Amino acid sequence: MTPCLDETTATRLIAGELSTAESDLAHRHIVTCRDCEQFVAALVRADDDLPQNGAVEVTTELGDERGNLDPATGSPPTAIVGTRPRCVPAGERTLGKGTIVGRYVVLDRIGAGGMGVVYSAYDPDLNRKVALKLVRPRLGPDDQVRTLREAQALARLQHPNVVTLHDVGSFEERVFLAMELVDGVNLRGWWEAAERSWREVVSVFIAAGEGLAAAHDKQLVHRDFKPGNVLVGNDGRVRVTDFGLARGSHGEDVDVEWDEDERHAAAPRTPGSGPSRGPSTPATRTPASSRDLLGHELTQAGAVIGTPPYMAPETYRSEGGEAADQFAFAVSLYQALYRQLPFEVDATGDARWNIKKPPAARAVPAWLHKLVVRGLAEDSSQRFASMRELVAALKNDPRIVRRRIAIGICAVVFLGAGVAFAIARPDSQESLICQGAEQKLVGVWDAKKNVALRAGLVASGVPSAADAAERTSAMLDRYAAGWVRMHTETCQATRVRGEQSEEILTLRMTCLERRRIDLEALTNVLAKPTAEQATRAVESAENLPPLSYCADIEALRAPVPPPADAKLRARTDALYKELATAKLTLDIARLDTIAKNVDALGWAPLAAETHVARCEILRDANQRDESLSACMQAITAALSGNDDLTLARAFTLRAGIFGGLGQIESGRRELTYAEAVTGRLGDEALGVRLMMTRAWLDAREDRVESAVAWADRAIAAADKSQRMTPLDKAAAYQSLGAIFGTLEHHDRSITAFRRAIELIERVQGPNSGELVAPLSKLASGLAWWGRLDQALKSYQRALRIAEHVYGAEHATVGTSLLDISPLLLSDGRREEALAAVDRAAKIIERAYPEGHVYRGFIQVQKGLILLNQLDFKRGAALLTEGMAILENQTSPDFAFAIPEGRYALAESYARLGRVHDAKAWARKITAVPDGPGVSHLQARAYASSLAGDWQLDHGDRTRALALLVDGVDRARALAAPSDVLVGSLRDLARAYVELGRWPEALALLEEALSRLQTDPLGRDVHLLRFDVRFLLARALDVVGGDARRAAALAGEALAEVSRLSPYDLLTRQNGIDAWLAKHPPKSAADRTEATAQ
Amino acid sequence: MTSDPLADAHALGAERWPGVVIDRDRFAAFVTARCGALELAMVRCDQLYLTCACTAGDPVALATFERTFGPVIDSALARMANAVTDADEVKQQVRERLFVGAAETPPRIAEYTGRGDLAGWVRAVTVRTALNYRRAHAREVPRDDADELAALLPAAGSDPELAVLLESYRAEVGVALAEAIDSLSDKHRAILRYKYAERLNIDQIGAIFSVHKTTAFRRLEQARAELIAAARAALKRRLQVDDDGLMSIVRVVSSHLDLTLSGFFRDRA
Repeated sequence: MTPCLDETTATRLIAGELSTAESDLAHRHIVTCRDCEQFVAALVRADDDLPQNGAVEVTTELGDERGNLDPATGSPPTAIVGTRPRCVPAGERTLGKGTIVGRYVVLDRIGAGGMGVVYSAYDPDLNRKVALKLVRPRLGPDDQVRTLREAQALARLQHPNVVTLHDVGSFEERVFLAMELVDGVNLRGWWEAAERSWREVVSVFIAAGEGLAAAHDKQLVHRDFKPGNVLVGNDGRVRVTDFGLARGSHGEDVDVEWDEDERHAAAPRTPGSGPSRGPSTPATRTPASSRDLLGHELTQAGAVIGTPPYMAPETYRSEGGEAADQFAFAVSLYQALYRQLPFEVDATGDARWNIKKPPAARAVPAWLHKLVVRGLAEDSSQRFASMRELVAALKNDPRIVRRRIAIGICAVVFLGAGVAFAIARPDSQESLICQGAEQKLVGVWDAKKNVALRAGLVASGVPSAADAAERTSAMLDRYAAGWVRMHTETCQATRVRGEQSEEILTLRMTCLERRRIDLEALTNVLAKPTAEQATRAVESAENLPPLSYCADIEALRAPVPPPADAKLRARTDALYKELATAKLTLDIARLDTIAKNVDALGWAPLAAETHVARCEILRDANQRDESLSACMQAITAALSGNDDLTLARAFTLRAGIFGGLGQIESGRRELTYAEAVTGRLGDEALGVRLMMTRAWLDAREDRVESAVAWADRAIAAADKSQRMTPLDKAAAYQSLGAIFGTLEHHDRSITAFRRAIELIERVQGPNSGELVAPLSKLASGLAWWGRLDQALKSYQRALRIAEHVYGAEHATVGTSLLDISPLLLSDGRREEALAAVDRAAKIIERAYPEGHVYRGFIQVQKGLILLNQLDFKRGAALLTEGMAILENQTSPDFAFAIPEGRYALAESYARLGRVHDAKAWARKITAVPDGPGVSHLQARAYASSLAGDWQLDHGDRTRALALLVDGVDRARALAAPSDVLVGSLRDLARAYVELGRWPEALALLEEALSRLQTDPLGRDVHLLRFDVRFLLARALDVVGGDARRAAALAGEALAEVSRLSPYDLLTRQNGIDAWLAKHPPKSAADRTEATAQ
Repeated sequence: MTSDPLADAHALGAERWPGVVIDRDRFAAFVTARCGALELAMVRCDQLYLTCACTAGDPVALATFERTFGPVIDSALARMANAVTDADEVKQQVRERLFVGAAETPPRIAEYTGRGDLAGWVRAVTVRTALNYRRAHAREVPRDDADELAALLPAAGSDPELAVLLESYRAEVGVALAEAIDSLSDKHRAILRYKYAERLNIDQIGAIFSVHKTTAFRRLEQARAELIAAARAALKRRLQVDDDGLMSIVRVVSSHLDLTLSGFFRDRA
């Protein structure tokens, strides 16, 4: 037998700090040892962080630390519990995820160094991610003030080549800086990543030098310029960071405030102490020098005044200023050009000021070498007069064709090995050969088309058409300009510079030609748009396939090339044109025809694209089987056409659709394929979609932690991505919202949908058709959350937009109405609910085929209303039809509708005297399949109560009791939504009342009442208010409790009577009559008073 | 950080606990005895600083400890309210065990190794002391037999027929349940025990197994289902009742499983 758990192991077990092996061992011991079992149980009971028995929490906060699982391993990361088990000074403790600093929410720690710790954080006010730097608290108060002042000066310095400082503040005793979060590498990472020519180096340094010069213009000195403090973003922008922070001060002896240990490390580089004292130079010698995510090496603790190899001689004499920055700049430039430092720095950090002989292998023009050497002059008066002057000298090379370094496809193509040859040619020659790209856009996107588009949009009469026209036109201008640029450059790369083969020229030109067709299709459609197309104008413009694909040689080369035969070629081009238009008009019938023609034509990549488009549109129409097979056709075509991009999209789509169907296994299989393909493509948007799909599948499988982790990752990637448009991001947020919805994290779901709505509103204005879906989803989250009024408002706005944009008869309007009706019903607004359902039914029956879930859902919904109106016969007929469709649905959307429908049928048949049918349906009520998400478990609790209810009225009381107890048990255990729990308590209490077990009923009703008063209800608001109060009044009456309280409760209950349905009234009539007989209202006035409450 | 992590840890501790002074070498020896050099970065050195000073009997340290962790002890004991009647007595015992020790047992405070949070460790010591105290002062609980178990079964409610049925098979039901419980997997038995013997809620069970509460709930559901199936099979073997009768009994048993199992597990303890 294994030894008993010691205190440390037990503590770490429940804190989740043990490894899997350790915790297995512990559990294996516990099953054999009663003492340890009791010990562990008592320990979790004594844990203040866990909810105690009796306190049933209504929601789970995702932010709780226990909830985080590492998505890669599925196991809890060691850091999930409490503070990290490390030696961290109190003032510098690692801030946990979710810590609030100022208005920012800490996300991750991304690095640490001399100045303090850097975190990525979220700024909820401006909805963006920032880098949050917490400055080390050891600097004395004076230094904090100076840091603040300097940071504030920096905040005023807006320059494209300086990292933007958004905000400064203090947190506990520390100063924090909120800065632009740059996605990219530092300068060292940049030159290590690839062979860089001296021209590339120079152009990057020109940018960095301009940043530095701009700071000098404002009398800001950097004091720690080095390659690690220059970031090259993925957007190609060069930014200088860490301004003026890594510093001591002139004359002031910072180290008086430091304790022994730190002096040890920092003393040698403290101003005034001379260069040769002390043993260590942290930045150069500490092997543990940390690198943050951006790869920049942060100045180590203690080295607060600079980094020795980059420090000017005068800095050692505490005379550093702008000239010292220039010196550091020159050291960095030297290092970038020669890949070595200019000076010998010995182990103590001492530098000898004679410049090393540069390695012969690196060709650097003499003028440039001379320039660097001047910057490195030991005597600062021998250097350039200012950074401005140095930068001007750098720019002055007559042969340099300046271009911004763009890390991207263009850079790879144009700035690669061929650069040296290319640059020497005079500009004029290039422009002569490859002119005329603009001509190709005549009639596609020109001044005339622009006028037509504006006129078309305005004529469509959609709200804010002029604004949409403005935005769309600007986007198309940019797209067209990009097209012309790429067309010209592609041509020149082959024809002028000879650095690109004819084969690639053809591929790229074909691709560009397709983009031209896409553009033309769009401008044609928008010249005479339908209302729907007009509202989608901005989105359509954003969704034009990115031009960058046409520079991705790998991707272009992979698919089977289009047919060489001219006639076939013309045919494919024509079909592509049709496809582009059909995609824009969401015309499924036309797509089907195109698909047939394309299949017959036999050029697989086009077929793949067509089928993917079909798949997507069918999916959005909730025709899942059809969409699955369309995607399968796309896969077959993409495989034979060797088109990876489409292949990955098709697999991802299928994974998501399977997820929606609850077929998780199949979804995962598709996802594996999608990942395999995406892996070799490296496409950002696709990557985000994959993560989302992964989260979606996890969510559907109830793997809460993992789902949330993936969703967070996806959002982070989307936020960071420069290439994703706001609408892509809005789509990502919508998926996230759906995932959180499935997980019953309604608060986070609501936040995600709100964010999606904001993004869409920002791009497309407040009346965009794109808003309908997120507004409805938001409403459904709000309804679950018990915010009925807000939910209704959100639904109504969705409905208004849908009617406006799509017309009163559109399918979207039908589904919106369908969403609204249950809410109206549970609010007791039966007439409105019935009207909504009737209108929805007409639309949906036209829009969706026989057997579609929406048709089933609407029949059930209508059946329920009829039942409430006591029309059992018609109700039963509709319910039977509807349930025939809904019964097979595994989607959580219908988890509650299924038991409810079955119950309604059992009830209707019982009322109609069809005992056999009634029993058959009653037996089925609890047969809720276990599906993904928590909804199914909650629906199962609800089903137990419903079944118990039926048994109580029409069947076996013992059985009823067992079911009702089970319902309460389940609802309690799950922290189910309040209406489910309150409903189950009410049902069980009613059974006890019927059995004359009043005290038991009383206890349950008190619990129900207290919940009713504190928790928001999502459904059956009035009915529950009535039942709980009225039953409680009766119970108090019988048990001989507080008579006045009983009377008051009964009064409150009776006030709800007008909101109850005829059916609810019928089933409660006897009780009400009995009460009124026993407690006759004293006078009309009393009665009015009672009902008015 | 400096190059000497021990010195670093020492400085850290001194900063964390102002006024608590401990000799650097003594601290170094204390820490080294508890963790290797490589582990040093992983343990809570600042908390070891305090426990080290406590073992040395430093009065400032002891006062600091009392101020910081006294509330932890109190709150842990409060959480065990129904179990511990004499909280003051237990608290005194906790103090003694931590700082005084006995002839063969040195003060427990020396056993804290810096792994895991000190507050959690103190809580664990408190809980264990309280459990031992309770065990020493509780009366002996008689071992169960099937009859006693059966006595815990619920009344049949309003159904007289079922009442008769249950009455006649009370003993058999008890035996069947016992068999069923023994046939469960360790994992399932453990989760049922936490739920019914220890009356933990889903969050607490989730914490013990490091899983989300919905996962814990599903496991519990599975365990319950397995138990019911096993009990039903066992009853079928023993009883000569028709399927309807059997179903009724099983239904009653399962609907009151909560009550039945709680009593059952408690008595089997």
